[in-house]
Amino acid sequence: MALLTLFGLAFTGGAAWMVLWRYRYIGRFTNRSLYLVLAFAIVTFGIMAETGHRGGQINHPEIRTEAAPTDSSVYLSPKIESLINNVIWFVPWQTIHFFGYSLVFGTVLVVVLRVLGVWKSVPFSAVHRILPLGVFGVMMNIFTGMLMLMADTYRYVNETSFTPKMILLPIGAIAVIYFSLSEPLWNTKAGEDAPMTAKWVAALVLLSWIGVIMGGRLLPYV
Amino acid sequence: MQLLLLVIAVAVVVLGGSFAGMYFLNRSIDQTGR
Repeated sequence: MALLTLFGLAFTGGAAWMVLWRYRYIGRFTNRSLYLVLAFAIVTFGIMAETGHRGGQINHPEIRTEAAPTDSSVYLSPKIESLINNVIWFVPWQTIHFFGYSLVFGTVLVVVLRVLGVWKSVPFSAVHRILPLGVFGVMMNIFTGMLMLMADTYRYVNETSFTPKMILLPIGAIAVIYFSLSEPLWNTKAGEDAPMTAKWVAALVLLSWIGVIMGGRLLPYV
Repeated sequence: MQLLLLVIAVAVVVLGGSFAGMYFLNRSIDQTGR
């Protein structure tokens, strides 16, 4: 259930960001997109409520009236676990994760190089157009990464590089909001220098994603 | 063999989907205009 909550949050956040991204171009929020985000939000809210409810049951077994099912295979998580631990599922799943990284890093590199002034010949609005590609990559990796984590939770959370990875990940991911909404950055025309703040953010984002990828790669070994 | 086909299918779907998503998003903003 918590997994569904996470997916619901990812969809709601992703859809909301898309609407913000489009706002830059069409200057308004269309009704259809607003209702879509609202629908995602309501569904996610429902799932979260149910997750919280079930969480309460976990912590208070004494208030349960009926016996808990002893067969663990009736739950969704063990099923996913056994699927992901099977190589025929794990390898394609990991392939998606790697493609996700490639999309993220490719997008980050283009944006960061423009902001830092390497590709001054293009206006920032040109790189703004490819931001969704990076967001798709992040969403893909939230799904695939979360399921891989579920398949072998204890191993992953006890790895040294897991915590730094998880700290750097939101820094890199949240920065997309800055790049898609910053007014001075949007107004940076071809040949112009990006604002100093944007350069610092860009450097931080690049370092964060480098850290995330290194952390991810080190996971099985450190 | 099965694994190879699965990985190829995944690559096509994931990358095709992402680029198609990008294309349609960009087309939608071009059509709506500023």
